[in-house]
Amino acid sequence: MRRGHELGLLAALAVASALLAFLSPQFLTTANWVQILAGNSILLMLAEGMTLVIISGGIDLSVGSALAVASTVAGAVAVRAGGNPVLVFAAALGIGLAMGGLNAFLISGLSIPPIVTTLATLGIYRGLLLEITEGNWITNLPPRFLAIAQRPLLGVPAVIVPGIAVAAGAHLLLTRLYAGRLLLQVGGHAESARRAGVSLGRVRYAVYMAMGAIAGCAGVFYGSQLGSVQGNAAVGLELSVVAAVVVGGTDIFGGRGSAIGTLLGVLLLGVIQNGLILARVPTYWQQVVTGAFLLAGIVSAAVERRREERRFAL
Amino acid sequence: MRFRLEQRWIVLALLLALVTGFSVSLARFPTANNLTQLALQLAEVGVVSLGMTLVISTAGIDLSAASVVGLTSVCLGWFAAHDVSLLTMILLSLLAAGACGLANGLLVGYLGISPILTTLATMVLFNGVALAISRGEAFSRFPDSFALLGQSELAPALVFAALAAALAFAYRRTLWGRRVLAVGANPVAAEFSTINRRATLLSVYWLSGTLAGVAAVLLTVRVATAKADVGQAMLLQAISAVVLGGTPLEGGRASLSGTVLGVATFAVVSNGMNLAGVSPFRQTVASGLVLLAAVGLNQWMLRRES
Repeated sequence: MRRGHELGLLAALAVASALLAFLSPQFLTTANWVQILAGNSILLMLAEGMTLVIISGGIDLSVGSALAVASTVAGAVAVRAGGNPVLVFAAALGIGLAMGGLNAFLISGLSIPPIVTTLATLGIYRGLLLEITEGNWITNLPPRFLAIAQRPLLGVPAVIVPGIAVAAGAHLLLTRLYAGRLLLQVGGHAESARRAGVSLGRVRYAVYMAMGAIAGCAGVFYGSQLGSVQGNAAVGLELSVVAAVVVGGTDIFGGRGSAIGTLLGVLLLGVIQNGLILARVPTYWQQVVTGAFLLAGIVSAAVERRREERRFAL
Repeated sequence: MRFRLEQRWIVLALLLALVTGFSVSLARFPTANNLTQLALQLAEVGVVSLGMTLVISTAGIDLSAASVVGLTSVCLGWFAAHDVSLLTMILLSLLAAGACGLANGLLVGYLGISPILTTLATMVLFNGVALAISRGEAFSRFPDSFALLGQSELAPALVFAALAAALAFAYRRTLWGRRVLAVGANPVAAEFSTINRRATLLSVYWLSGTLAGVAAVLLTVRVATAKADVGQAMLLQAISAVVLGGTPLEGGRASLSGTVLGVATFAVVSNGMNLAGVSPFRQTVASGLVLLAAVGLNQWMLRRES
């Protein structure tokens, strides 16, 4: 169903790449592409998780704060445990699941709208983190912790692998698994899903806790890739995540979307950002370009939907 | 008529309790100086919240409001740097803010794009334009007449009160207000009642943009500095105040008096916490909790009604 939008994104990606290859000889090198993938892998993980949340009819604006909390917890554990990856991931996953669970409780249990819930927890998680860390950085991270994201795996930096793995998992879930059907059903029409016997609460807990777990893992890779951990990490990241999902063609009202579309959305935004840097566009102009692209993506998706609706009406 | 417990009465009680509590416990709270300061802060967020109330009553949201505040502020700074006269400067900046609102209104009303998406994109875009105009720096060269405006400490509160009264009148007593209400309650039924849904939405988003511009003028006059990120904290505060005041995010009704009470409550809380020396991080946590409590209360009241 989303085939048309995905082809359109692929075409946009090809045009942007051709233009950039023409403008800068560095663009088409392997090193540059590895850098684009490594630089956007964490965004890809979060965006695939967000795709599931948005398809289920929700949104999670607290992902940036949750990532910062998880990366700080992971960093603190790593310093005490000598960077033991098992302990680090267990701690980050645990705190990520807890934050996702709290979001789910507020949304499902107290029926507070997802956008308000996660806007509030965005502030609460970040505020608590800054209060506890008092704004201090952790920079004495052990080498074993840094190796998690930086060591080579199959010839590329290891951080690229989880991004692709989460994207593949989300694609499998949405196209092949029963749980994916449930997500689409709940997002498409919650009431009819409920009457068909689907437990809305269980689906919501699952999807927000999955998002929390992904944010937790992403936090480990974030800290490991940067080599430091701090309370102000990833401020505003949720906007890039939602932007990538929306550009990828997932319907913000839920019920429709694809993991491949999100992958292409992340790549398109990543390529544009890379191109702006290679073309030496001043930083204060970059946001105008990003905003214009975001708007173009949203408008084209709306026009496409309208055309689709007209076809169904006939 | 049976008495209906409305959310705004609960908020009013909360506000009175807070004011009494702070007056008793903090010696510096009930001073004229502090209350003037409170009124100044309240007015800026308040004006943004009025526009947000109407947008939310149409089942929409304006996430770009804070970016419009920043863009308008930067416009003022740019005009001042190019020696434009005071009145022209303010008028042109308000027009620019209105144009931002019109862009949102066209996308939401005429292209049918969801308000969250539209204003998410324009939030990034308007902030980008503000950064591009200011090259990421601050304008601080303003004419003397501008500084003179900033001297009058009660003017912002008066502007806020006048706008709140005018909007409450327009919403309750004019045909336009009925149209806004109808579009929010049931867009399809509104369309069948020959209401021009698109034009109504356009007017509401234009108003939200222009009011964000008014807030920017008040803010820029007060601090005599123009920067792209001056209004950033206002977005969350405005949405929180509207929701606390009892306007549901589902649209279909609005309580402008509730919004005024909501804005006052948040302003009193933050002022009191500042005086008590609470760290800004804890204040972030507190405003998040107040927002959750407010919407939780709202949902509970709605469920009790039905």
